[in-house]
Amino acid sequence: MKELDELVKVREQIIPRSQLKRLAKRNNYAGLGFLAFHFFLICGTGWLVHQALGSWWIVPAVFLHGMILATLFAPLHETSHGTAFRTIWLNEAVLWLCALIYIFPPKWFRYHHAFHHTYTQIRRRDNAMVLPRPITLMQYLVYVSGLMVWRRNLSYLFNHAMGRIDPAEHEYAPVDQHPMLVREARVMVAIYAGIAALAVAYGSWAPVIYWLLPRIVGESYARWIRVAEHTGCEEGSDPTANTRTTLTNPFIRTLWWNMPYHAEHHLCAFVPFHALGKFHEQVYDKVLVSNGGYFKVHLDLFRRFIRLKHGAQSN
Amino acid sequence: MEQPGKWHRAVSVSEIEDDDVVGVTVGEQGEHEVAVYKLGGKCYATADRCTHQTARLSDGLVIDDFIECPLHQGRFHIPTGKARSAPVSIALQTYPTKVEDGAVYVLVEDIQFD
Repeated sequence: MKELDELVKVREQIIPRSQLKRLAKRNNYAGLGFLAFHFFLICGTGWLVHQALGSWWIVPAVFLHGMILATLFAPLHETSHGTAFRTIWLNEAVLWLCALIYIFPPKWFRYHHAFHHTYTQIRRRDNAMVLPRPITLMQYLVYVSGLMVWRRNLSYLFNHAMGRIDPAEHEYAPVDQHPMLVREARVMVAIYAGIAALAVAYGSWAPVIYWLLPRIVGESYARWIRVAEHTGCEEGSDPTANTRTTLTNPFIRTLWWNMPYHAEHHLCAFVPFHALGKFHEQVYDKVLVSNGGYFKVHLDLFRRFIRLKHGAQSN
Repeated sequence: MEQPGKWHRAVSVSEIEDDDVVGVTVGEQGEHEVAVYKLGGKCYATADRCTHQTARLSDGLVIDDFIECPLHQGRFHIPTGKARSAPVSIALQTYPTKVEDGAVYVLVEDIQFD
């Protein structure tokens, strides 16, 4: 496979396998630590929402809680790679927990995301290509709103639950795994139906206030972060040019399980999140790095690529 | 019972680190890409290409009894070749091995070329 050969060739030129093997060592402790921090924050912002009930403070509180819930994409992503924990069952359990809260079918995401790693930034092949050029302001705003992601994911969830697999999914999900995709969607829908039934039975709005509403408004934050990973980077299979690392502060890095080191992650996805900082120290001068944080990346995109209309963009 | 195929010298035992893997080609014309492992002093061999998207498993990581694909992190059980975690679902071909004179030999069925 041409794309894969290119990735391996570039990686071998950048870092020897012996070093990668050391970086790739797995453990359970780092993941459990990050997960505890994550759920501590979720409880904290959930408590803020509770305190703000009945006042206008509810608006910022729900947004803040939604942003923190949106960062659950990070452990969902890491566990989908199987690199968050050394122990397979622990990895799968956390994948399911995050996927249920995040409302992403977990195994479907794993197949979908694997394909993205194979065909990163290859137009018409990369199924997670974010805002290919030329980019209009409207396309940017629609993407960052997260609306399209909700439409896509809910459509997959309910179609799978009904036993329908879109022909386009055959490209990344092997046919022998389709029954599993249907099963997982049915399990998820059953759990959500159970939560809804309990909420109705007890006359409680808690799932809406503490989960659904924050999830919907918070998705924008996840999309905004995701724009920085590949948008505006070169198209093609060269991992040193098709993915961007965004240097940011330790709090944001921790919230996103080191995914801001995205170029390193794509260079070698079997290096677990907790070793990406060390990996970055070894390869930072060989990959694409933006050192001004996420606002700077977005500002650069606006300067260089985002235009009001098609046909008016520069390089 | 004698197994079909022919024993081919794959690699010196000393060239494989403990709990690691090396990729070799064996067969009359080097037609088999094989990953040779050393786990707890014992040697195993499997096909070197992942059954998911053909990544070279010898570039991957040995974790306990599993080989993890370097591209999508699917895992195979090394002694049996069974697919253990998604995205892999199809088992890996395994090959019998023996160690003689400090070298690992792998039993493969030669392909007849015209």
